[in-house]
Amino acid sequence: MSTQIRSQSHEKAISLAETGKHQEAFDILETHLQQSPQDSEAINDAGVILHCLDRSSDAVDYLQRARSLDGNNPEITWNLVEAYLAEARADEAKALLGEMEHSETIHIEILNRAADIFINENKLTDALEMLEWSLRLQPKQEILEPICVVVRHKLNEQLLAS
Amino acid sequence: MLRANVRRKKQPMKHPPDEPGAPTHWHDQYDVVQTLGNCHATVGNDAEAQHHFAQAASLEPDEPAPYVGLGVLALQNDKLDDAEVAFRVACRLNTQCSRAYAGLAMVAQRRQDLKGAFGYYLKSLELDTDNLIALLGLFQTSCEMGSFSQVTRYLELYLSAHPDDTSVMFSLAALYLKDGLLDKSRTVLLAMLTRDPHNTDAQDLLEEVEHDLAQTEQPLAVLPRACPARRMPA
Repeated sequence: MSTQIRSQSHEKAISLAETGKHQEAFDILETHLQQSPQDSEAINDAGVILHCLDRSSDAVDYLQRARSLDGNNPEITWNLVEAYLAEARADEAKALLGEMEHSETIHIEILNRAADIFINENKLTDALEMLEWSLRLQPKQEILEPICVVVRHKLNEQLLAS
Repeated sequence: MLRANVRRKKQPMKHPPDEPGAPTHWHDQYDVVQTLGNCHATVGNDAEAQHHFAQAASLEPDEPAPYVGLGVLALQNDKLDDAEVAFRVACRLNTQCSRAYAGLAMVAQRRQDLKGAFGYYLKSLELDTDNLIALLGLFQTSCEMGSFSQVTRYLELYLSAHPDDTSVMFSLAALYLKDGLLDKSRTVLLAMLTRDPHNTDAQDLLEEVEHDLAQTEQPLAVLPRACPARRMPA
């Protein structure tokens, strides 16, 4: 997809987005997409711009569409995971993490944020899985070890209570 | 192609709404928040630690531990007045809080108020003889004041519960030597060297103790020849 020749309007939208003029960029991309509804890169970029406009819920729709058109593009997957996490949809983000690891785009920051969301939702098993994964990728995260201890402790409490 | 991660704004963490009967929220659990505060403090994330201690204090206003944490952070940043206030609050909340008294002692020690520090360290140890910080603080203060009368007892008490703590062993051996209790000092140093054979401080002190022992033992070695201990049978 990155080898595609972008339309002038798409290029202009990217330039505007890079200078922080997100709304203008989005409007241009919307017009472009009316003429090229299958342009997965433009759909992805529109999704990213929406995410930057704090409209991650709308961004998810766009990025899912982009992914359905170009499922092998790791950058679209990465963007979709970011949008899911911004919306605290950690379950859906988690489902894509294996794919991200395969394409080597996974990062501890994503895992740690997913863990935080799971913790907030009291899904401690998932949280622990994310934290341990993060520690496998980068063992020297001093702050994670005690958090794992607390999560394990809470899990044990839950098990005993059930 | 644009990437969401590089343009991502810092999102405030979203929390599910609290509902009656819903499981207690992670960030609403005092022990978890307090533990995280301690974790952050341990790794030097002072701002995060302060945030968690303040949150813990708001969750359990009667608990002294968050204030002890805040006091320690203030002390580490040389904010002695703030540290004192925090430790005093902790003492007020729980008059049996050994760590809060140890904190007040450290503040006093940093202000060179040795008498005050000594009193607070003693109070801290009365409440918890296991408080190593108070114990070593008491030893340091005693060294600076030249008064050791009350330290030995607490060192002995601590060692009876922690027989492998070589740092306390050395302090105790030094005090025994100072009080002329050479055999006791030697025993402690030998025990210490069994656990930590390469400890040069202990080796040096043992040499000094054995030198003193040899000097005191010499007249005794002569004594039996002059005065036979056993009476010859009739």
